[in-house]
Amino acid sequence: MQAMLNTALVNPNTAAVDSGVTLLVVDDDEMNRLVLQTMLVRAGHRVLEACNGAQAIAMFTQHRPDAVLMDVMMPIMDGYEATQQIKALVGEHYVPVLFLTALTEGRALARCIEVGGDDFITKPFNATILKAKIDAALRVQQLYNKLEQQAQTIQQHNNYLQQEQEAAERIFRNIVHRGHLHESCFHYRISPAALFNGDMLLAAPLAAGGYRVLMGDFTGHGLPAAVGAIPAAEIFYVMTAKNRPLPELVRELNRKLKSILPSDIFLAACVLDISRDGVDIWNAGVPDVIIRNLPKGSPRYAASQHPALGILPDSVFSDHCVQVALTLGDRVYLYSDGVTEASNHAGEFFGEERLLQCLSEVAETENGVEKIWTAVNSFRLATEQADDMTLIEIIPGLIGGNAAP
Amino acid sequence: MLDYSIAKAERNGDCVTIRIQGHFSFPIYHQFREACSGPTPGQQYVIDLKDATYMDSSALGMLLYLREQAGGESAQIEITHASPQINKVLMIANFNKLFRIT
Repeated sequence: MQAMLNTALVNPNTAAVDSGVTLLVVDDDEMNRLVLQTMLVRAGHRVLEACNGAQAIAMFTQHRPDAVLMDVMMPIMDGYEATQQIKALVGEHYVPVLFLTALTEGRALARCIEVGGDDFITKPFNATILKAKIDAALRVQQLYNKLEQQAQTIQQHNNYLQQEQEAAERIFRNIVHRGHLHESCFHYRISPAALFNGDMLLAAPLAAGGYRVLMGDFTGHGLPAAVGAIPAAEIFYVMTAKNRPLPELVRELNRKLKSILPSDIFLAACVLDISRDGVDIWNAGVPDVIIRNLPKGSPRYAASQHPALGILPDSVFSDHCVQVALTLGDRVYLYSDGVTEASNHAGEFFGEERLLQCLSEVAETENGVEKIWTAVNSFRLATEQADDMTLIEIIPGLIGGNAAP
Repeated sequence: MLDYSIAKAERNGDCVTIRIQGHFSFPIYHQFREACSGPTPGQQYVIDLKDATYMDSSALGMLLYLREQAGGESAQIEITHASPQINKVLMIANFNKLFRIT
């Protein structure tokens, strides 16, 4: 093979600093190759030579040059075919191929680009213009390589993050979503808007009978919300198991979250102790708790009375609860604002009116959560879920498990 | 959907007015932080929500951030021109206990 690395031929006085770039010159005319080679070596490039398309592919495969100068008309294999094969070889990488051709007919020149060539120069060529075109092609290549590297780095980071999140999510679920929500007195739905959502729903039995339930919604999504949820869930389970009263629990939750969370992250939450005949409610920043009596009776509400957990210093924090008596047929509903803020195509919210309308239609034997969930989802249609949605229905008549609702 | 929401600050003597336009939510977090940058104790703030169409819990978080930066319990922050819908968000959060809402 007559082609070889050919920097040694040049007079050291005229040789420029090595550019680190290797070019493959493909031409069947030895004179042309010599002219090009001399010029390119002076510009500091390393030069490989091939005298037809087939040899060009062999040289390319072996040496992987940075760019190719390609003649069109050559024996054995022409420049069009060689370019197509080289472009197929490099796949997604960018290796510029510049055609150098004596052809001037428009169709022949257009074909240079069609087969994957990046530019063409007609012979006889002007050395300055050729150099400029090579420089331009190499600049595009550098940019392309940089982008490619960045894309790879991002992809790697992304894969890594994804794996971490999945592992963390399993841990998170074990801590935050365990408890007694499977009991027959609860119907609930939690939908994650993100891998981690800011919603919490916890339930634990009370020593005196009945359950303690916490429904909460952290500001924002993602990691900060998940991080705050972990100590909050631990405090909830531990203090409830130790039979600590509700005011003491919410005070401790507030104290803990205030100390660990940055000022712009907090937990809007409603905590309640519910038994067959009454419910104590501490509502801080979540929508009204709704108490509906089936089959009739107008709803009662327990509105938010406090700023959310993690905002106020202990000295001004209020643990005051409201007490509501319950009778047979009552059902208690808690929901996050994601339910009423679910929006349709027109940007209209599902809203409280639709929610109340829906609740008023819940039959005695019906699961109210499923009814609302279906209504919200058909209202929302295909629009993306904008916020976390959490919804729970508590049927006090089923607490203890031995009576009809 | 493109979000053109913005937060803009305007200084007038001791009072900085921050106007929110469009959705008061996470996408304008950095703008908001910039708008209320370098608060000094004693500095008064007005959050003008005349052109705000929506507000979520991350906006509540931003207000709390400002409140802390501006002196916590002693911060002087007024929230004005909230639409009925936004006012409802503020009331559920009981922010009337933390800010002057007019």
